[in-house]
Amino acid sequence: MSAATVSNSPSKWLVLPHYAFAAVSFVVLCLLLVFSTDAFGGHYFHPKLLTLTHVAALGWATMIIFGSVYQLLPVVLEVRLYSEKLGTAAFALLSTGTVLLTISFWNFWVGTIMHIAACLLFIAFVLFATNVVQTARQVKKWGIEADFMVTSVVWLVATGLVGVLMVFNFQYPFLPQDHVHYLKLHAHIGMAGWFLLLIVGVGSKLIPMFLLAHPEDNRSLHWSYYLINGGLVLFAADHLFLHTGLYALYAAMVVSGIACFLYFLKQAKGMGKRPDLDLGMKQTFVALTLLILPIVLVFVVTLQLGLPQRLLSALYLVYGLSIFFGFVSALILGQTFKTLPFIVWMHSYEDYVGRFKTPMPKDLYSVTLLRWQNIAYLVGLVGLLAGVLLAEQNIILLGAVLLSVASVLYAGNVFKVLLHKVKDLKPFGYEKAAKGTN
Amino acid sequence: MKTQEQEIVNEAYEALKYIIDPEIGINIVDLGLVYKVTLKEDEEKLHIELTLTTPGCPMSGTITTAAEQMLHKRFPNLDTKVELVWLPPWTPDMISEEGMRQLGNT
Repeated sequence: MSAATVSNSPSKWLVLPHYAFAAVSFVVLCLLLVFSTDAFGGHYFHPKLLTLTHVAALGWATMIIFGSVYQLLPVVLEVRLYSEKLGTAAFALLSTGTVLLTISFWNFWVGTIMHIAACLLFIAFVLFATNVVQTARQVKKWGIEADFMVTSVVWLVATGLVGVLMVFNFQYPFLPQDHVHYLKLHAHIGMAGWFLLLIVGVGSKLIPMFLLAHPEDNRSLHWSYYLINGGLVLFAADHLFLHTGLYALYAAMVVSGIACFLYFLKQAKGMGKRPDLDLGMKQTFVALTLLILPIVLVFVVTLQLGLPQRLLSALYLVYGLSIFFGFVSALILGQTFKTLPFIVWMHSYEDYVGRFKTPMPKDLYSVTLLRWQNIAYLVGLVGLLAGVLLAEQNIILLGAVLLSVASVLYAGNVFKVLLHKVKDLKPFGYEKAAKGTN
Repeated sequence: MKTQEQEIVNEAYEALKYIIDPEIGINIVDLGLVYKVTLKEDEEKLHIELTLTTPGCPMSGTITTAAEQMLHKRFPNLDTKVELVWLPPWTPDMISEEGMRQLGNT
């Protein structure tokens, strides 16, 4: 029998600040949405929409992903995190960069502050990528999950690089084509390269684990990896150099890759020994269902269907919103309460387990708040998307208010977990333990 | 003698049932994480082999320490050693009938 090693978990002071910052960002994001209902009537290249997108992508999604990855990377790859100091530095740069970029986009200051913000963010991405790659280099048994995670950080750095170039191009135009051209590249390699690959890599390990399933056949994950990356590389090359415009083909490759991932999860769900899903897992499956929307819309916006310009602009907006406010947000809202309570519980009670009766991780948050959060989120999302599609500001406002309610409930629950204190633990009655009483 | 040895082993399994896997919510014995409990009575040694649901599980230190503390309190006269092992790898098929029932499987 091979003996095991001690836990590879990083310090809570590295992981937890990311959750706190992300929760505050989600509230800020939804409140900014309330004050941006007038921005959804035209093109997506609008200061308020750029602000919303970057708060969602950086302060909310990337922030919580950074924190989760520091915790989950050792679980998925079975090694220690390369450097906690790099992680702390990346947090400081990402948080400062996000705040500065948000202020710059909202006021559309394209000067020094935006330049500094972009550079800070890019350095944060490089530090994070270095940490992930160096951690992965210690892996003894390389799996497809490691491929997904390492490749996702390469796309993150590429996304950041395009972002930096665009920011400097605002003030000192040097790029050969217009901004919207590069914005499409920046957005798609960020969404499919960074978010999607990372979610597939981590999800393919964690979701079966939470379902108590052990799928051994991971061929569909290999297909998923090559199809998503193949589609992205071809898209980027075409967009920059070839200009053939075969975007629907590349989209079809990425979508096929997603389908392979979903097929893997379907197999895992079929094998799972846990028929009663908790709210966190239910919300995760809601998120996966919400993927249908951007999958359909990517073809609608890439195929030349001759749609009226106003409708096409609205569909572009719904496409972007369905990814950030839909799939990505829904997934985070669900998975936060699968990971965060466990992390806090572990750090709070690891010295007490076996000696005292301790609460369980699920006791650290309010299920009622979580239920209402999920309801408010889903109704709010439907309202927001419907309002944008119908160009009805009042419906957009209603959706934004409901999403704000969801964000406040979420943040309340997150801080309830973060501020949890150990108290009044009762010791076990060991002498009676064998008789089944205590 | 053999009967008394078996009794202590059974009591050890029962004591370990007090350790609940925090994510799954059922005890580590019914989850199938405890592979072996052996007692060398002449040496007064209790040896436990247990595993985790995945090798990267952050609970490794917590669960082994908890098992050691639980058994030490339960059997203060025995020298208890808890060893974390990875072979054979744990699979959900190792969950006991009682564990399956607690998970909601009918």
